[in-house]
Amino acid sequence: MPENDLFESFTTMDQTHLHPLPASEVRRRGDRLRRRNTALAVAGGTVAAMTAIGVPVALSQDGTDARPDPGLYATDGPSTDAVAWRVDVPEDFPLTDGFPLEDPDRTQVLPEYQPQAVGPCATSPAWDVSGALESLQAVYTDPSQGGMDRVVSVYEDDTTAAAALEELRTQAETCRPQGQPRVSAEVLTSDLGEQSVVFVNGYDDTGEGFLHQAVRVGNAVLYSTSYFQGAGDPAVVEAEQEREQDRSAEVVAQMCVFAADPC
Amino acid sequence: MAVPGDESRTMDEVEFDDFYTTSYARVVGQVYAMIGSRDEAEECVQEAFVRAWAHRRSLDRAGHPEAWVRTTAYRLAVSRWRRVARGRRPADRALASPTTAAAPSEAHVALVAALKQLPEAQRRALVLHHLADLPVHEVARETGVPEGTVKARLSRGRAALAALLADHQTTLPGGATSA
Repeated sequence: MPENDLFESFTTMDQTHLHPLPASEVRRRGDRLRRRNTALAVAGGTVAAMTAIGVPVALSQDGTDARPDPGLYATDGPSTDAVAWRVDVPEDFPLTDGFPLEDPDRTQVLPEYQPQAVGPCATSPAWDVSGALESLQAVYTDPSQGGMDRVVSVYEDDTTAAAALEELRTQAETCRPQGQPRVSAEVLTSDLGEQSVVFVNGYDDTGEGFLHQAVRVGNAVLYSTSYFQGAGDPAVVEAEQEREQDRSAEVVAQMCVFAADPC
Repeated sequence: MAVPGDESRTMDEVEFDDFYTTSYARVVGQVYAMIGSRDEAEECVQEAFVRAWAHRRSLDRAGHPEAWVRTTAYRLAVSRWRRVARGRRPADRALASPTTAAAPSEAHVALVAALKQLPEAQRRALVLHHLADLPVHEVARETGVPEGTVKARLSRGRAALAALLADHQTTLPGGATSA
């Protein structure tokens, strides 16, 4: 072990001013955080359950389509119902919610998508907006941390949006480390919205990485990327995933405006 | 997701409380050395422990719970959105009884100032190796870079620190002595 004389002051510093919360309070807050995260996941799962239950019931009516107003259905997968999908991004959509507010000049809202990161295979832009009817992007540039960006893309219907997300998942799952520096992709477990894909692009020789989070609700996809360091450590990756989930919680919640049964 | 049958490895309340009590101040000191602000370090470490309890199953599987908390606190500290969020809610510190801390030594103040001038990666490597007592391979694991990179950062960091502390007659880690 190295000599640590120099850093001894950090271990012997006066600790009487430290005010740790009681352990029971830490656990209480942890339980509350866990419940909140679970509620976010359940919100997506409930929508899926509605579809799974609703379709068999509808088909049990002597072969006739006895389904009520399609507007009562929130769909989780391909939909052929005559849903009046929203085809634009509302003006008050909170795309920048959770972005740093210290320096507003570092946040830009762009009507055209300008890729801020490469995609899972490091051969194309992070998100392909070519099939979308409309996309709106917000970019935060941090001179020291690399920043983050979000783009919300609205599609003709939920089937088209779901296909775009599945294409992304396929890319992330099948890519092999490539490029210089070598970029690898790892798909993480996620359960956001009606459908989601989360993966990390890690730069093998530097420990840098981008977290990609894509969430679909109805006919829209919210795609977020954020830069971070320590991508070789699973604990760091998990922490970054949680950070992005926390940071985007409000805007993901507002994606309900694109649901078949919008909020 | 938890692995079926893995529940026996999940930290229970007593174990967590013991872990929290024994490691809180140590991790605060380490994160303080990394970021240069004791108050912010304490706040981020506190939040990291909250997350640790919320995700205690994955915390157990990580095998290094203190490293998990330290890394989480560090990432919280360096993210600017965290600072904004802090301004939106009452600080936990405000609930505590006011106390008077002893003034830090001149050498400590100089060290904090010198550390702040180092590149982030060098500072983190120095703290993990010399303050958290992690061997090079564990520093590499925690920071997600090759061991060679860690050694280079330590070497450069020590040299830079020696130069920055040249006026303070301080013995540096590894035996170097500043003039």
